[in-house]
Amino acid sequence: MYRYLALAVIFLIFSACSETVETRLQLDYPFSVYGIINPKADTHAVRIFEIKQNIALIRPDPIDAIVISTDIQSGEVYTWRDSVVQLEDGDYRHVYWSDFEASARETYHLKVLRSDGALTEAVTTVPPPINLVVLEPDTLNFSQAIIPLMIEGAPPALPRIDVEYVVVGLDASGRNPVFNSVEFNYAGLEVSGTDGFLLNIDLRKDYLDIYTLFNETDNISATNIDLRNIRVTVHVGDDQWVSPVGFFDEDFLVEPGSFSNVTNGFGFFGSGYSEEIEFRPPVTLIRRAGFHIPGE
Amino acid sequence: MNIPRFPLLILLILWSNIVLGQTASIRGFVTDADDREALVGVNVILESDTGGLRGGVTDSDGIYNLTRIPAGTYLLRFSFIGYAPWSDTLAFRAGQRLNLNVALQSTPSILDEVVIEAENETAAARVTAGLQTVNPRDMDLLPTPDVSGDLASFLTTLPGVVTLGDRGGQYYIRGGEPSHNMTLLDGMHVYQPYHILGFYSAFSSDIIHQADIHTAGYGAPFTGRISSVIDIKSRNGDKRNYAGALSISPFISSAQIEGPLIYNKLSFLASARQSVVEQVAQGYVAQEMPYTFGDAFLKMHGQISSNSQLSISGIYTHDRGRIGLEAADQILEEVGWRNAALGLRYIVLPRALPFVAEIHLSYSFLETEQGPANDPVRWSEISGFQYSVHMNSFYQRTQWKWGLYWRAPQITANLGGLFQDPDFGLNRRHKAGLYLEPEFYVTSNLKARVTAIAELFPGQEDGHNNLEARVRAIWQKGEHEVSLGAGWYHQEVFGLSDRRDATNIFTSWRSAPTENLSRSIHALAGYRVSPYSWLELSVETYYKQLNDLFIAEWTAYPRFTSLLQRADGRAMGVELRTEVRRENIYGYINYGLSSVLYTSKQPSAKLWFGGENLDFRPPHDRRHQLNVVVTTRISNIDISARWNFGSGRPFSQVYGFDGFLLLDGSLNLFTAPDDQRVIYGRPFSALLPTYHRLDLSLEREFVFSKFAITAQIGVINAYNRRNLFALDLFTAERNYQLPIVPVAGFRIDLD
Repeated sequence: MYRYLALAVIFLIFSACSETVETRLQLDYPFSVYGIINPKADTHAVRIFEIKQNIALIRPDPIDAIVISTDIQSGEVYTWRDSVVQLEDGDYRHVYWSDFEASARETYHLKVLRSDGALTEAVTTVPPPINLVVLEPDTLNFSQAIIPLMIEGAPPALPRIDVEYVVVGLDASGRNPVFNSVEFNYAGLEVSGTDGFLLNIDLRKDYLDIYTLFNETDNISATNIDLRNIRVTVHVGDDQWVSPVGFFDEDFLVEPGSFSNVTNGFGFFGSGYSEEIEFRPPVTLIRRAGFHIPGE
Repeated sequence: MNIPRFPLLILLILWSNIVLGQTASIRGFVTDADDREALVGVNVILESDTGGLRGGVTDSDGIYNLTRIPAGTYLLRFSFIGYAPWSDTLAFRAGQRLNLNVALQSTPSILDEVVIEAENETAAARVTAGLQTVNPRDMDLLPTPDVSGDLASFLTTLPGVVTLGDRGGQYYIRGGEPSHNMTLLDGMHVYQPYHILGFYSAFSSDIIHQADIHTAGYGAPFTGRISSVIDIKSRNGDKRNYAGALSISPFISSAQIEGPLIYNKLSFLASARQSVVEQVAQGYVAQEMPYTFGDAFLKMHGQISSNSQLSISGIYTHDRGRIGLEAADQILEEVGWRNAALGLRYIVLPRALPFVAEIHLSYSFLETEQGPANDPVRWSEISGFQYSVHMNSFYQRTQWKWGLYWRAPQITANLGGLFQDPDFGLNRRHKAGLYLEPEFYVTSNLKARVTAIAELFPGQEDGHNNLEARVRAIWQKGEHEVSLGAGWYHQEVFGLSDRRDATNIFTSWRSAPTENLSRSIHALAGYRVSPYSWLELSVETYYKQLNDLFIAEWTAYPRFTSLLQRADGRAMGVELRTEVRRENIYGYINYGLSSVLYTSKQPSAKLWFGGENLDFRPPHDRRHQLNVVVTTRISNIDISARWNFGSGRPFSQVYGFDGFLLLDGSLNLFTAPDDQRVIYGRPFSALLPTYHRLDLSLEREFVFSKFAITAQIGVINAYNRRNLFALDLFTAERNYQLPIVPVAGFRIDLD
């Protein structure tokens, strides 16, 4: 009897110990890298995140990273400098930057080195320039109000095309003007052609969306929406700047590795720039789309 | 064809009167003569002078009903364990409907004649078609850090009930999530009835008359939940004498009073409990315990006339605390919730009609919130009225239940703070339904129940009608019982929580899209045998198919998302129970083997895991669970011990943490906002360590002329097992359940 009791006590004493549990999986990646080489800018930047074992706010203290880039064609090597920036929410980030002049079709090899030799790297080729041209719209076709925009050149990727309508509405009292801008994402709607890509901006469809938006907003009237300008911003990217799902949705792309060209790390290091054009469509089309024409 | 419904009802009543007019019937309430509390499971036998027998048992309201009695002279007998038998000779005329209320006098002797065994008589191994009935005594047997028992502690002894730990108030019953469980107190919904510290629910054993725990395969009138139902009937309060009790323990203090408002007619029962964890237990437990909780219950019950009863019940609960661990750069948020419910229940045995009718009106409310102390950044409310009428008629070989109900839950949510998709809105979901549930006594050994339910969602453009069917069959012969059950279930509201983090118990209630209500199909089979009077064995196996569950979307963001993703799932298992009832020792061993698997359907999963369907074991998939409870009495000291074992639950491992910036254009890297990100491994592919714990208690009652004192000493987690409650995946910190905790408490009962 006492023997069994003693065995039970020994069992309980040993079982009182907690078992080990491994919460972390092995990962040798040192960094996540988000950066752009912009041929239209004189400064290029890359945001570096150390891949850590625990979540914590990023400190302004220096991080164990050396960032260098090499122009594959010329062999020029640049060492990027760390700058600690504070975002709007108060958090710190490490943004490395370099002020060399990047040229179209040049290939750059970025290396992020840790002192223990761990390396994260990525390669990008700068896309060629493009030219934006507003083509003559078809004003005789009364069933539509479309502005054709030609993206001349051979951009490898167009990750984003913003079409921004600068409009003036009236406040709820109907007396005071309210300036507003409404942005539409036209990415993926461009049509490939021999000289580049054609983008048809559908004023009527966009007007209806703006009307619906204003109609659901308390402090602005949906009647008498006056279109002042349209601003188109075309973002040009290198040939890797393509979403695996066809569109850039953070709910999809947040998963590590789902949109990445980085070796031994996560993130995306590309090259690209944006080209912008601003214009006012012909009054005929503005009226046909449904916008209000002042004085009418 | 449009048939006028009112004349149809009249015809039905007339038909009933004609058919039943040839025979007599008798019914009434059976109560305890001392306090007029309803007695459940009393055997009622009507013996004719030719020796013929017919009988029944009283239900949870103490109602018996014998019908189709041919005219003649009979001996009516009532017998119940622990009560003196009652008998009388009655002469019935054809068409006579007799109402006879009986009060049984309790005696210390044990009745040796048990002619008809109540189906829902309580016992640890007595599970019939998914139903286990529990009385306060079953709860009081368990060692808990309080002199009184609690339903929550009892639930954790059931092999199909999984908890995530000793705090959080989350109970998973046979694969169902907490919001898939319906908890009713006197017919009122109590949405989140479990306190933040896992030993306690809103239902102490002091207020419970009986609790029916339906873990699967339940019938009408339970609709709107796809996993389980806990149907609690509270005590009515003493109609003859005043009584009260005060108790204090390191975790909770309580006060209770009951008595007659009108002698023999109207009683009240009031109970209040308030946690003293921070004031007492915190002083000597080697762990932070920032928990505050409490509850209050009030009931008035009246015998309006000889054939009707009215009760009004109300309950209020509150919980607040911080779960998880403090970490650098992380503010540990408080989570809190408040329940309130008020209900009216009227039971009548109409003299002119052969029914037992129950009318029920109630209003329930739950508010949950999370955020920095006194400054919640997100909250969710669910509230609503519920009206129902239930009818129950008895015939010689059949029992018919039918009823109507209308529910109008209203949900409001404001998910601010770090929630990925802030969501503010009001959603109201009306539901009207009716059910019909005949139960047939096919042979003397076999009875079968069939349930049909039809529901409408009035006023909703995309609302679909809903039909459900359920069946149950029980075969009983001698010491053997075989039960089968199956059913279709649906749920229109559900709770959304962040299943990646066990310490995040904030639940946001949402409405399911009406075109795709969450649904389940249950199937179960059980066998029970009592080879000896002191031994009972049972085995029950179940399968639940779960469809259109709506769960929070899986994401690498380190925060809860209110975006929904569809998931299907299945839960299955087998449960073995052994109960021993010897003169000097009582105990039981329960073992549950279960498996829960979810398949979530998230478009982004194709990109992440190679397919749109992601199979995973949810965190409540505990494969093995074992409970051993032993109680005995030595030298007037009640000794009880409980050992609980559970295999490890799934959790998600982490590779590390970085940041995420959506590069969808030429951003300014110096200013563009980004997000922290968790680099998860495949979801829920690792297991936490096993869990086991031994609790012990010794209790002694000292009886004096005017009062009694019960003293208790005990120890929770007697061998100081370091049971993991949760892993903080973000910091790799471990959050442990309670260490060894000595407890001492006492209770004064005033008569």
